[in-house]
Amino acid sequence: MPDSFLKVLVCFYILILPGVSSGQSADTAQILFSGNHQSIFQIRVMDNAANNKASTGTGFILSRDTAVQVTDADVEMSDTVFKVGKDLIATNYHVIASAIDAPENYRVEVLLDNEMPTQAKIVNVDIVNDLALLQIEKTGRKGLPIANISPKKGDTVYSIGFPFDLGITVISGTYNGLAPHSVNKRVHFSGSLNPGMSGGPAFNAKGEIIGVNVSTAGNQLSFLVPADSLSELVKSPPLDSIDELSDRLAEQLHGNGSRLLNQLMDGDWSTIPLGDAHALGEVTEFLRCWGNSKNTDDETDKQPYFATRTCQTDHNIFINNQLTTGKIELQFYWLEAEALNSPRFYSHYQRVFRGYRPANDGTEKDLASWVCEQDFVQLSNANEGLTKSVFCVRGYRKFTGLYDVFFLQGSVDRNHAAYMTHFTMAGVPMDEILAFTGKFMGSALW
Amino acid sequence: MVVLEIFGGGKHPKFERIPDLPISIGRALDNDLIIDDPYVDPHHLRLELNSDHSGWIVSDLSSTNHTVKNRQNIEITDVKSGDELLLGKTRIRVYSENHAVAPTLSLRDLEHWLLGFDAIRWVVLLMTALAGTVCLQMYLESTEDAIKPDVYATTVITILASVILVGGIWALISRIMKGEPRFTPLLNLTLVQSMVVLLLTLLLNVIFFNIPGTPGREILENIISLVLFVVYVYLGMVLTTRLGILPRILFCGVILFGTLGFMAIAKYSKEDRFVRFPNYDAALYSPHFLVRSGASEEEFRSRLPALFERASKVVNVDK
Repeated sequence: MPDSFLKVLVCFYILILPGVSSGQSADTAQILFSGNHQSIFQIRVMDNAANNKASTGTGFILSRDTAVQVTDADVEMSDTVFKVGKDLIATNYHVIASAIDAPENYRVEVLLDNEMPTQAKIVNVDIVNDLALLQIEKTGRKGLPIANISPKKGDTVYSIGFPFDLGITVISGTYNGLAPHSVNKRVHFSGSLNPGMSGGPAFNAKGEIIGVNVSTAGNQLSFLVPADSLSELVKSPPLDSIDELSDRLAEQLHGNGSRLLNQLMDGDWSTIPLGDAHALGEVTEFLRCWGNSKNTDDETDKQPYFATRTCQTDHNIFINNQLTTGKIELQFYWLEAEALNSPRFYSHYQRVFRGYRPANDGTEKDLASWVCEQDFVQLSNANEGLTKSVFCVRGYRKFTGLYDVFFLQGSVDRNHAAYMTHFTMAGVPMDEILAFTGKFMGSALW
Repeated sequence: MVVLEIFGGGKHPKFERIPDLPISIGRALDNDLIIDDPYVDPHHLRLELNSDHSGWIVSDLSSTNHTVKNRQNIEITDVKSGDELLLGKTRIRVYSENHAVAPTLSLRDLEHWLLGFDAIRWVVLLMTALAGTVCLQMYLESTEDAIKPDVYATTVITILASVILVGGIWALISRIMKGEPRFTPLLNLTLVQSMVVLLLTLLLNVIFFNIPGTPGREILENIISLVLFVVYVYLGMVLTTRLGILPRILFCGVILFGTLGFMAIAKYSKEDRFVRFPNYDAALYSPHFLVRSGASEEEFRSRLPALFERASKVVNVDK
């Protein structure tokens, strides 16, 4: 009797479920929250000297099933990030960046019930995808599982976190797939994430993790790091000691720069016309391009005619509060003015030429000074045009082999017209960027 | 026989050969030597040979402003070749006709030469040239339809007014130290200096455009400007002060080496300064001013690995 009664109840329940209504969604949200909130914590970085919060975010316990199936006996011996007697917490890199940047000044704490802090140890990071793994003493709470299948576009997903120190919050939104033209995989989530929720879990309706909260662009436009990036991190070898961290970060940044440059080199280098010269199209899918030009119908001034095309990556890699890296930017600029005599045209041209800035900015704590090589360069194309060329580099203090570069080349042989080609990149390795420079200079842009 | 050199009233200094002595000197027209200076008495001074014809004796004729020799009012005193007397605002130097050409004489030539530079036509010419150059430079740096006339006018007036002001300051010094303002030659000197600085800056810009990224370019420009400035100060001192060669050279030397020392210290202390933006030479001028060809693309790219090495060294410098 109880069996059939239960079956009826289940059928009844299943009949009701497909009706997607906000009431339904609220129910799911409630269920997810009540089932999982015990495993989601506020994370804070404390300033040791002042004993104040430097930053806050969210983190959650990961289920051991995320990695290859391990038993308690295995974890001691195998090189996995799960350890006996410890819980593994996932969060964003940027949430704990201060503690990584200056470990002697900051400590990472996970807040358990009644805001009881427990010290956390950093066991692995993925700076490129903005993820980090922490280890705390076993809490006895359950680990949250990662979903095997991605949601479908339009599915409702639920994000949990601690916005603005306001206590734990559930937000529901729509899964909109991977954001196109993104330099790292990011899920586009139509919900209102708020600062403080970074590092928190995003669930599908079954309570499986499909992403980690990472950023918002306001107006119900937010982003998640996809769950498979998190799985990758969990499966990769943890840090043996905190001293290894800097090298691990350098390796990841180096790898990222390498990957992006190789993609660029293998991309579509066909050109499109710009003024009397040529510009590159959207070489790879992670570059977004747009153009600008002077409205020629509006001939109210004798300012030179210009047409530009700019292509750049969509988001940067956060290193610390003063420094981001990973950005790639290309620009092509055509300038002409029949109405101005040559010296006056070049006065204007000079103002544009001197106004270029590098892809990122930072302080001398993290970056070295720029050094430049400049000269007049004869192009190898049919016209053998003469250009003024500039190439500048600077190194990172904490990451050997990683550089920021700045390249600018402008024509100097025409009396009433000029063309500038430019690229600037942050966080790239030398060999690949030199190869790219060669290809860029040699491409039929002039 | 005596030769008198007369300075005064902003007029060209002139020599007078006086064959017969004694003579009377004063403003009245019945003097042997007439001095047209309102501060000189009608009958001011008497000059006569001394007993052994080795020099002269001068007697002040109870003049209002006295006769001054070596900053002292004299009534009757001996004068030898080379001595200087001050009557009112007029200076008179007394020479025998075989006065040897001493080293100081060459500087007097410099002073004379500078004083000779006092024609009004020079003032007009130089001011026009300066105004013209400034306007041309403004025009070539503009891109809007036309710079309004009032902007040109304001700039030109400001610059000319500054030059006149500087000339005026020198004239004040001259008035205090030499008794006469000498404004015109000082103004001309300042105008010439301004033109030279302006034209030299333009020339250097074009030269350095052709050799971009030259290290030490700024230092060279600063040194050239400094040397020009010190020469200008020296010439100004020749015209306006009574200092001899040695004090003048000493003073200018102090300015020169003092500033060079200061520049060296400033450069040295800026050496490790953090360069936040790429400090590239962005100067661009019309192709008419470009007189060279370029390196090949391969050659330029071949220099880049060394640049990365330099960048790495800069990183390690502070470690």
